[in-house]
Amino acid sequence: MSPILPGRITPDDDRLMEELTCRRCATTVLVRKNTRTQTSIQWLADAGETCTELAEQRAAGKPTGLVSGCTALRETIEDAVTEGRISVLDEVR
Amino acid sequence: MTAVDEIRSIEAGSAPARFARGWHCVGLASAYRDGKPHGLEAFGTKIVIWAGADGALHALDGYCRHMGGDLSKGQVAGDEVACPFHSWRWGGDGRCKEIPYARRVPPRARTRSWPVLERNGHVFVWHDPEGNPPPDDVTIPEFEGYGSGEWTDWTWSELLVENSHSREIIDNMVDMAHFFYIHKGLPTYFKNVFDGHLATQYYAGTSHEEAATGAPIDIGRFEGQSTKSEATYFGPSYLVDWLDNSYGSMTVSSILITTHYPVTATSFMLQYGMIVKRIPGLDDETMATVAQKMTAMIGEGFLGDVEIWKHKSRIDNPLLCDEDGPVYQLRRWYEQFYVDVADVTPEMTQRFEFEIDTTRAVESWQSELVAAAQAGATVPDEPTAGGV
Repeated sequence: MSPILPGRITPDDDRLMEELTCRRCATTVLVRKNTRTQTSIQWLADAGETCTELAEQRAAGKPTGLVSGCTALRETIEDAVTEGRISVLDEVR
Repeated sequence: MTAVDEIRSIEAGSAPARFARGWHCVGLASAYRDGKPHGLEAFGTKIVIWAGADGALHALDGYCRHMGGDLSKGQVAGDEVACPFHSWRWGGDGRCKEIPYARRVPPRARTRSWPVLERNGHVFVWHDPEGNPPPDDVTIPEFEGYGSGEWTDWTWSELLVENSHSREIIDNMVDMAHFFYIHKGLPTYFKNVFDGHLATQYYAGTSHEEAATGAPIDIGRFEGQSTKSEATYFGPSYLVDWLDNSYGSMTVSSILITTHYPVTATSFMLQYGMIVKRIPGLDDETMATVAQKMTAMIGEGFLGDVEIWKHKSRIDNPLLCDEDGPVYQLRRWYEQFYVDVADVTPEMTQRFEFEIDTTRAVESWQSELVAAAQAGATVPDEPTAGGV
């Protein structure tokens, strides 16, 4: 099967994900936003170890795979978009 | 010729020869508790499953190591299974315990035993090509409240899918658009999370009927939609869908299971069933009818999937648009179950999240439905179920 190169969503799409560090626990992830609503997040380590919020959930007995996302990271991404540090691909064409 | 002028070719690849490592659901525990051994064609072989006199479920290779008799055609004798050919008695640990006509059991009388797990009324068999026992961290969780009388009994159906690999049904996890075209749903919120051995789909949506009225549709919202589903694969084959369907002010909460085990490398047994949370004021019989009706509807949906799978090409290089879900990342996640434990890479298990922007899709689908309604075409009146 075609492997996906780091930072890519599909082998046919060369729009790269960008690094972003969460303001709460300094976890670095890769992010890509096609639109204001669409978001892709690639974590680069065990999320339940590096992310404070997900670690709390895990400690409470909930597998991180059952948590829809980290609210601090979501806010970090929203701010990064507002400040232009993460581009919204549909808006820069 | 530039890349955009090139003709796209399908890389079909071929189905893996090995079977996934993991717990595979093989049906309802109650079905195995009838005092008889049961034969199961699975993982390219035959397995015998039975409940001993002590109530514990056991699974062994189906063929007796003596002269090859089919153990599933034999009988349960105490905690053991007796071969129909010469009555050799096999224990759940894989050892021959007794040969009624012999003074001693040959020391080599040991067959393959399959680890068995019972959870939430379901039976699971552990498959690992490397032969390791099941680790605790991939076990199947117990459902909160199950067995408390709060829920109906399981409905259960199965469907043999031939000339197809289970990767096709796994792909559905990320396939937002097929819900509209195959399952008569209209997804308004769609997100995937892959993390460790879990893969989840968050789905919210409305029905074709509702959309056809032209009423405004909430986009990008998970809570409060008429169909709300959180569906998680616990390992390679057991999908648990916490599914709420609202009809006006009434919400029906259910847990829908969609699970499969491979029969051969190119066929699998798809099984599905649900429990429905009891609604105050409705008697047992009515609740059972609700569960049966919903299951039948879901079964219809699977027939739609199977019709596609029967005729489609296997494709290793799908060409995706932005409104498609993360097929490549899902398949990378799925790959962890098809390689040796030592070869599982961090990329296969590291968390990945993908939320689709459904705005354009909803607009397009709603205008299609409204136009069809105005043209007098019939619009399906059944709301959809999420999950696959």
